[in-house]
Amino acid sequence: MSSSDDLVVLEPRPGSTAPNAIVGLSQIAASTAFAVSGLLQSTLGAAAERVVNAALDAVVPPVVDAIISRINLTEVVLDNVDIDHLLAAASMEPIIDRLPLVDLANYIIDEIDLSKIIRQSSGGIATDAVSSARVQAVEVDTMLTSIVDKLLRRGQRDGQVLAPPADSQRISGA
Amino acid sequence: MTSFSEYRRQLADGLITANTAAPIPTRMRGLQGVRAGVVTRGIAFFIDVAAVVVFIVAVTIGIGVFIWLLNPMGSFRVPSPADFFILGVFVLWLMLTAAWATTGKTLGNHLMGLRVVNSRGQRVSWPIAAARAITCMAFPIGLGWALVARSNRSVQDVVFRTSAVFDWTTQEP
Repeated sequence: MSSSDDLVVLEPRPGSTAPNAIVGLSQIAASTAFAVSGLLQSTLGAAAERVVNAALDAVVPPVVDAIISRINLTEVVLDNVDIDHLLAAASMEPIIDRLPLVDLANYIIDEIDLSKIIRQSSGGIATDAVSSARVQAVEVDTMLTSIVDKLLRRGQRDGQVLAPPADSQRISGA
Repeated sequence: MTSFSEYRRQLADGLITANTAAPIPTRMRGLQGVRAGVVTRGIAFFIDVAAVVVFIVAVTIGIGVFIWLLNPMGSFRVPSPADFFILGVFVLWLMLTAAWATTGKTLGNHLMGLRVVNSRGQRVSWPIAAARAITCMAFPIGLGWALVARSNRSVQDVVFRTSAVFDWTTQEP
């Protein structure tokens, strides 16, 4: 060490493992600065976030409402979304699983009176036989009356009493 | 595609008919509401008489079997033909009266697609039905007038102002 100079040089003792004092001090300073910076950043960030969120809460809903009220969202979807493709891509099984199919089936059976339709259908053979007998009787009647009318030399008979039932006009017959 | 609410509304408004109704052949639709001829009505009456005979025979056999079950050693007196006849006439009268006064259709009428109505095309009253039934049983040949009369009316129809018309539906007029 020279007496003419004011320079102080701190050197670790030869063989010592102690760190350089300057380096240590600078590390401490850096750490402190980093910590203070982080603290400031988090504090300021949280405050800024609160301010921004409040601003968005106040602004976004009315803006979105105003936009939606000015456009026909259904038309937009219909024009721009391929619903068929969307449905084709959708998995139907979870939807079907959630449907009350049994209740729905019972409702349909009740509504269309399926049991009565089955009863009518199962009686089809008997109905056909009865219908055939009726038609044949009518044909014999027609023949007999035409013979009598010819013998008596008169025109067609007038046996209409009631207007034909409305049902007979609407039911599709054989 | 018709929704259930639309289906019910159309059914209530009479715009559509439930599929449960029996169909009427196309060529027979024009006959609905027309007085029937003597053959159709004769067959219907014959079916009614046959039904009563079957009913009485079945009841007689049933009573005989019941009595035999109660007392196998006892005897069962088979009713005489006169008893059968009186019982048959009474049952037939009851059956015809009740059927004409309620639905207008006896069993034979139902099978042959006939309905007995009054002059307004409505159900006949009980007294008229009872009196008509008596005359039909006592004077069945009166039906023959339907063959001659231009309006297809039997003597009973003329007397009681009734008509036996074709009605293949099961709904009352």
